[in-house]
Amino acid sequence: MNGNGSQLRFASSVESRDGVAIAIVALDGELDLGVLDVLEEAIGGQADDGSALVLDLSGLAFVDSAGIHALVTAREGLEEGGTRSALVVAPGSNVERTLDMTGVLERLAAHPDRDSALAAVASAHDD
Amino acid sequence: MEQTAQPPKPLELRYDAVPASVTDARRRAAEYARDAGAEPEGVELAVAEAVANAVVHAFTDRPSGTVLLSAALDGGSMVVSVTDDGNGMRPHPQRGGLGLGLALIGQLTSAFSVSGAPGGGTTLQMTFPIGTGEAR
Repeated sequence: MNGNGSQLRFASSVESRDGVAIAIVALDGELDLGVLDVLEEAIGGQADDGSALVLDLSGLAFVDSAGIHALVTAREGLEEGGTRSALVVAPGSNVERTLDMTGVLERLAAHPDRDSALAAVASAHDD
Repeated sequence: MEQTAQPPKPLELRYDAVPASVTDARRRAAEYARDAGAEPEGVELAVAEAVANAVVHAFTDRPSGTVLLSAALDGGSMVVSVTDDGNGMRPHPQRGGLGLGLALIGQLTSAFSVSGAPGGGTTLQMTFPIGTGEAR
């Protein structure tokens, strides 16, 4: 787990699904304006490693609009760079409510669990 | 005999206008909301937006300043003010945004207002209903 000492931590791993190597970044803690550098480190370290990424937000307890903006920007950057990506947002969570309130939930095409996010990314990679 | 919970005393905290201050300010406001019987998640998010707005948009003419967070009960409401000593809210040249902050605050509060603070700066005042959360 990286980002130790911060309110936001992340763990990175790689999983193979249908022959596609998918980087997984799982965030844990709270994402606000004060820790955007940790998010950048978490995603930036993975973007070059493969062409598929799942960003798992199910361990996040809080996100504000600065965090949402950073997530949207990161997602767009990944897509522009040719990296397929998907987000996991726990149903009924505080983070899901906030994303829904801002209208960003649909735009981010969030998945309710890691398995469906992995399947979506693997499937998109085949297209 | 069961003791009646005392309403929390007014809160007043001054912060450096830096990104790291958002975290403590929102947590302290959520704690106050819990004690007051307001909905802590909504207060926490609204205060995060208000303080972040001040940090990002109020000091475009100098490196930083201060942000004052205050909270108090007013009848059946909890009133939170975030006041900065900056030069007014202006777009930050390097840090854009989705423009979500004030829209979120509007959804989370029963009322809010933005006004010029005495001596310069901006005050964002937010009103939250109490009785929607659980007082400790």
